[in-house]
Amino acid sequence: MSRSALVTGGTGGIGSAIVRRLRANGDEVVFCGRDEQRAAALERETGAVFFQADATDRAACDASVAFALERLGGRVDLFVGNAGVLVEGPLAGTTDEELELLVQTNLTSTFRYGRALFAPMRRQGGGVMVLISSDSAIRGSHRIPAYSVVKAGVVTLAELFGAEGAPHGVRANAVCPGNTLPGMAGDDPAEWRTTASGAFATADDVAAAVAFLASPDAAHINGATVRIDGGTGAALQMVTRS
Amino acid sequence: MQRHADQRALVTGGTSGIGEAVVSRLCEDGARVVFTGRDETRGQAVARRTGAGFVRADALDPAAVRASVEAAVRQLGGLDIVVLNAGVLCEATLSETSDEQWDTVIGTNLVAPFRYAREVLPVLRESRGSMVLVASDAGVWGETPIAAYSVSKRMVIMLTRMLAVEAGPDGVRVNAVCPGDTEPGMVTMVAGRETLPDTSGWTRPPLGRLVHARDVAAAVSFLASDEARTITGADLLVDGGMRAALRANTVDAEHAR
Repeated sequence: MSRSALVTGGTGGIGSAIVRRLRANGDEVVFCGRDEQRAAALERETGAVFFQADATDRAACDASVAFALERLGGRVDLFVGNAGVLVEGPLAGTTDEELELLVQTNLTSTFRYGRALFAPMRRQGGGVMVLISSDSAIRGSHRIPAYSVVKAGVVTLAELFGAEGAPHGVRANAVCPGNTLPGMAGDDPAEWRTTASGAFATADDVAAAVAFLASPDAAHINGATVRIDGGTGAALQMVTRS
Repeated sequence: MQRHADQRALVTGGTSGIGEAVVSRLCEDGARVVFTGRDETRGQAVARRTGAGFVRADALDPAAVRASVEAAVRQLGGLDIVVLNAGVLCEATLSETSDEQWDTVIGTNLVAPFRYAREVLPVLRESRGSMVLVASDAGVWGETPIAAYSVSKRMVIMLTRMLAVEAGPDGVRVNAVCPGDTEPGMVTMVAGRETLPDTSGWTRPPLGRLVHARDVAAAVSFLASDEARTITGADLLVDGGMRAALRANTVDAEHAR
């Protein structure tokens, strides 16, 4: 059955993989983002529809929800909150502007989209939210401390949208990728800490988890957190003592 | 000898509830304390009662954050203990939370402690002091009726861990306390509420009674002391066992002592 989906941050690495995957499943997709060129290419490739909206621009985000509801026949079955930015470096050197960018993009926009879609989903008898957080939300990373803090808030958003939505058929879950190719941590895995499995996730791996959580197979999975990190966050791996 | 004799302490949000109890406790422990808050009248009353110094500051105002840290450092000659307690509660589910409520909760409970922490870190590095952030049991396990608050307090716990990792090599410890329903505390201090609500019907934790603000202050005092010298990045529940298991929620008020 074809469903309708709204994906934020759809022009980025993970976001575009999600758009492709949902389109491959036959879903009708509206995606948001900033980059018109990449968006146009993704529209041509997948048939998904782009609405330009910077996640920090509240009016544009509200307009994108109205556009999606109108374009998708009055319903959004799936919301994927994926828009996000990365800020690196110690907290002591993190500026007010950087923190504000992180909060507005990664946290507040996700909250506002979820809130805007909660009532329509409830009215239509249910819906699914999948919020893209980060493995650093579960075990914070000292290289990206401010990002870790804000992404922890995104996990809580998924839990609380899930808990509030449960009586109304609205589910919400958090997906927590580690370093992903392509993703937001650059494209040179040589600079990354290794994973438990030795391999890094691809954006398609993340998209597959999103598609599963959005599917009826996951009908009883609500308020859950799924790490996609090859087992890296499962336990602290101690340095081998010789 | 008193636990915090001659220690220099800054407490944010010290004019009521848990903050006021922390100010009292640190003074009793021998510390010299400066505290902040918005309410001039209550601030002066707490100052008179405890002997601590009051600096009027709204945590949402970045200039006031900077000025209050500068004032505390000037008055005390440095800082050994910083307790970031200022916070607001918002009683609404996510779908019912307005932009204004969201911005106030995130600004006060997350952005303000971030700014305070950034301002005081260099001062604490000099003294190899410690910081305690007041989070909430709702940050450990969220509550739908106080959703934005739960989100903000989860982030406070992660902020605590990240600060602990960053400041650890300089001998600065950073911990969080996570109070459950506390009397007098957040739930009895909701903005606009003139009279204290009747708490007799509240769900009781396994220990059967609500947390008292003094209990939270005792945990803060311990975490800020040398007795806790290897404890950092921790989030200590002070909740009467409420978050120990789901079953806690089924303990009725009738069974409370």
